[in-house]
Amino acid sequence: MKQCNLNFWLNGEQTKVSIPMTATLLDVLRDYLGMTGTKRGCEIGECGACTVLLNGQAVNSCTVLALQAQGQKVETVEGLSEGGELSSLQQSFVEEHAVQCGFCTPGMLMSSTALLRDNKNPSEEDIRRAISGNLCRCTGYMPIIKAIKKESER
Amino acid sequence: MKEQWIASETLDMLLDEIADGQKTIVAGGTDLLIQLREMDREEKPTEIADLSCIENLKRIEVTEDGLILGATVTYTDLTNSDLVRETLPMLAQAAMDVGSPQVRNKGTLGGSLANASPAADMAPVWVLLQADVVLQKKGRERVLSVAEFLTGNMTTVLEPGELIVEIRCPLWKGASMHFIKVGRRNAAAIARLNGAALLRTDGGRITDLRMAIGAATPTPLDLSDACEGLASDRSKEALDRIAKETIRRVEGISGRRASAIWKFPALENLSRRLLIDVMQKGGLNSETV
Amino acid sequence: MFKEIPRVDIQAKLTGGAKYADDMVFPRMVYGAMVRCSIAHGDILSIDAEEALKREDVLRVITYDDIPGIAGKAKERPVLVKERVRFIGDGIAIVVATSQQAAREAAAKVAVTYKELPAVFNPAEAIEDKQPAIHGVSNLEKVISMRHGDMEQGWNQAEVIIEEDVSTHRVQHAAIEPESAVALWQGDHIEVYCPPKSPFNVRRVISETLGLRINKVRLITSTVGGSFGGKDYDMSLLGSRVALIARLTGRPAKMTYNREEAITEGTKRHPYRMHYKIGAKKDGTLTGLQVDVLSDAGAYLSKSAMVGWRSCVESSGPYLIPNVHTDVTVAYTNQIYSDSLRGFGSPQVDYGIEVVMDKLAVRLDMDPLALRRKNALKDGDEHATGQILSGVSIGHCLDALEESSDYLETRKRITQFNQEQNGPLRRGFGIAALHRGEALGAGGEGIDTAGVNVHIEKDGSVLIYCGLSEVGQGCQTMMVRIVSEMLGLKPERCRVSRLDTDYVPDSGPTVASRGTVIAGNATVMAVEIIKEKIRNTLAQQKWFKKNAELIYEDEKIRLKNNPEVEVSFEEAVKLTFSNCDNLYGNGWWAAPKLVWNWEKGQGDAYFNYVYGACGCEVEVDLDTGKTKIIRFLAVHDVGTALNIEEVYGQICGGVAMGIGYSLMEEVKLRDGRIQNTNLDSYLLPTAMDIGSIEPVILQEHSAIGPLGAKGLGEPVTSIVAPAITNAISDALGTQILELPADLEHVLAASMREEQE
Repeated sequence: MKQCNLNFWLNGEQTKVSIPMTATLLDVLRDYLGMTGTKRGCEIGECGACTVLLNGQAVNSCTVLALQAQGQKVETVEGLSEGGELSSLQQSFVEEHAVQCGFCTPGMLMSSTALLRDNKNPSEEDIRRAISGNLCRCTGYMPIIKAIKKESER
Repeated sequence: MKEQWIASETLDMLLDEIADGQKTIVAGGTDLLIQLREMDREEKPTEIADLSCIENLKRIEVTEDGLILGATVTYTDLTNSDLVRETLPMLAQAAMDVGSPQVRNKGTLGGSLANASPAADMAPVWVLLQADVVLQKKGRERVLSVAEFLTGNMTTVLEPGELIVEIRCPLWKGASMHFIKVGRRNAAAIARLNGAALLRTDGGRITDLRMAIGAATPTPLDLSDACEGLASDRSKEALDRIAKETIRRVEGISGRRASAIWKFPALENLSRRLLIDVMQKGGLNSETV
Repeated sequence: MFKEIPRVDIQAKLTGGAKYADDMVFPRMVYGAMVRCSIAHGDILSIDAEEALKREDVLRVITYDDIPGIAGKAKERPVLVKERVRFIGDGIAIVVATSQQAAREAAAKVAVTYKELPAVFNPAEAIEDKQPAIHGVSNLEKVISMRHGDMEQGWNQAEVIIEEDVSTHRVQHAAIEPESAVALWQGDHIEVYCPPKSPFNVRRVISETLGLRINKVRLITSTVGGSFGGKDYDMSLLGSRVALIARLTGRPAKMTYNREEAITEGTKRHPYRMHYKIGAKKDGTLTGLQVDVLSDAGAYLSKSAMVGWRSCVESSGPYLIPNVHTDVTVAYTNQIYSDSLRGFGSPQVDYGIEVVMDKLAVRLDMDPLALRRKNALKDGDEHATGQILSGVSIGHCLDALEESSDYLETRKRITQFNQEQNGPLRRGFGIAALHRGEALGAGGEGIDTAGVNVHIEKDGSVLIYCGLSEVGQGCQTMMVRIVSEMLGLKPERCRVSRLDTDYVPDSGPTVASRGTVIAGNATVMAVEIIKEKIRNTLAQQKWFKKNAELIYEDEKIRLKNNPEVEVSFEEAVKLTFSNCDNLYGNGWWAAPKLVWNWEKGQGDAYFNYVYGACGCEVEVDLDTGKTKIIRFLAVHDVGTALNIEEVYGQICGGVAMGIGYSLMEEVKLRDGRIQNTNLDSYLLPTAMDIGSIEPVILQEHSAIGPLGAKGLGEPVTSIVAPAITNAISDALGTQILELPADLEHVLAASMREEQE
């Protein structure tokens, strides 16, 4: 299969990689670039564990053709903390104990980030809707909703 | 085997590229990627045409043809658009119920129409509003109603090399509208039933009453003709008659499957409810004439 | 009340740095994909891997004959089948390739032919005569019984008797992380990285499969992305499979299941068909209970008998019933086998007794809460197992439920709402009460022991070693809490070592919500040993007063009666080491021995029970059968909350799982084949489906738990379903007695009620 060149911005850095045409953005991040923070949960865009931001919008990277990110901006969980320091949002997750097994956490953080950029004062309804595409089996969502609310109030 | 990724910047260039009917089109990719995953290595497409770079396909504007929505307008674009909220708020309401935020950010109106799932949430809305689709292939444009465009379960009249370019939606100024969706959960749910209704009155008299139901038949069911009687009789019996007619038509098209045990009574209830709710929104009481 | 401490593993999970098995990559790694059988029952005639082996990127195809040790024990699912396949999903071969994708594609090309045998899918049919036997001669594996009092008397004393059929369905763990494992052959031993629920069980099975002694298998846990009872025997198989690949190829090996495989092969909760007969006096006093359960174990045994035992013991609910007769029949069918799933047999019988109690309440024209109160167990009461109970807090839980739900007002408000409705919405409020045996009990699940080692390093920092898996439940944080509380240290001083079976003591399976109590107590013991050593050191100091009591606080140690005499923790540590002693403490704790008489069906089943009560307000749409959760109150007595925020999270998670169990989850099988193999058709609740979950945490100190704590992970999900369906029943005016209470069931019930 022919290799195509993909050039895009990953967490603010110019990134170049050579990939098959039908590779998904998730494949590229995990398998080609070793960015394993983004998780593979279902591969059909249902669980949201693979959520990244594409031009600031939350998308399921498992159902995005990588080449559609050509020249675009992609943000993953690795980009949220600067030099190992937890971001304010991550700190809110710590304070509200919004992490148990952690597998949904990267996706949750990305969806929350997109929400909070768009809506500085989200209602609880807004928050639930914003993470409605991220399945969590451990926390029952309540601690996560509280963490996002807390962050929005900072 | 030829392998290429086509990312044309203009519609004309793209139509040229896909004219041979051999290319796989990708808009948002939310449906395509799931299909790709099921394919063997040998079956995977080798020539893919990406629509996402074409600015012209993203427009949302009002012209004399009504509300124009480009084929690659996403559900999020729709829900965020002030223009849509001002002119046809029900579109935004229906779009809000589709999938999840991630799906709404990438899924496109044109992609969904081309996919033609019987459970699609926007499909009965287009049929209700009597929206048209504009199709283009190299050297030809044609305009069809959405009702004509969708022909069956996952099938449309789209020809190889042909593309949905935009949806043209009449504004139905002054109309009250209502949309419902029933799924097994409140987000990321495939509709088990959906539907929409609109009502326009003139001095307390009904001038337009339309209803369309989805997820019950392969393509949306337009029941507007069955609703005509409501102009003169809005009694409970009249509503029951329409509800029963709805079931009769669904059974006529799809037969009585195992799912009918739930679907038929639920649909009967929902069609009645849809009409009551839209009449209430339009300031009409269902028991009076 | 303890000061809050953040989860100790949270940083890595938040930054994307936490490594789950599928995140691990080694140079020259190869990948495996399974060839699984496609028929429900039969014998393999041939395996043709020619097409697969034609690919350049395929290294080899592994089958039963390549297994150096044993593939599996009798009645247990084998790593790879030799000949007999028993359910759609049994493993036949492993294709090894240079990428996961290639391995999967090649596996699809392996052709298997079978001699099909008749298959049986209905457990009631399976135990009849002349059915194809899946193991041995009969599909009836075991009947587990409980006999208490005199049933004749029970029925004679009853003024009202009702009989009902109740059933629960098949659901799955659906942890968001699919199963994955990595193995490396290190010349003389195998190293396996995986997310196991029971690391030592997995280690043992790998050693048996590879024909190695246990000390030649090293299992290092990767971050576990959820277990809920899964990743248990499934992980033993997966671990063995990658170990095989690594051993046979000499290369690092990984195998990750995709979601379809995780669903096809992963174990499920036992579906139960239950029949209840319950007798009471007109004033609500229960006189007798008979419960008959048929449990569908699927194609292999695993822990089905133990699950059945717990169900049997808990079948009488948290009630004083003088005459009880329960039989749990465990039957095989040619389907995906059932195993531990959060609750381990509690959710099903809790569902049964609680919906029957509500039906009885209706029959007696009695308020459901009043009926519970009338019969709730108290200290000194005799449980249906014959055990005399102490530390019973169900009464307090019911009180807390009444208060937090504003019970009478809520019922009034809902009645009014329903009366004023002219649309299709109806509201209802439902309750359920819980008792659950703590830890493994006498039911043969295993020896209930745990070892925890605590090492104080020379600079006063602490390393904790424990063989319990951190599956998200926060057990690492729990141990840090205990150590830091007991030694007066800041939690940041402590670190829990990664679970590496080469270094940590066997602490048994991470199950039964036993972690807090068993490992917690072992931690306490380890710290006591360390404290003893410190005492011995300090006793040699001039300022030490004989028999003085030491207070550990603020990172200092001082004399209780002379608080101005103090030494810093670091100083004490230094003194000890310079005294040629060490500060290593080995804690080993065994649960009290319990005896169960299998014949009589009586005995001390558990050393302790935990209690809870739940209430749920729902809104049902009579047009469609759709149920909306408005609010869910979950009262749980946790003994001592070692980490109250984590308790809150556990309760919310358990309730959410119960909401899925009640309303939307269902593993659909047709002729032994699972129909819904991904998350678009197996539906988990989203953030928009759970309503407002409100935990109410009671702390009635436990006599036996560390610092008074009780286990929590499973009680929190066990009575969610009956609270919800009792609420729906309240809204509809008719009882829902089966799960799931999905659109179809609720609309049908509503229509039946309308017709009557």
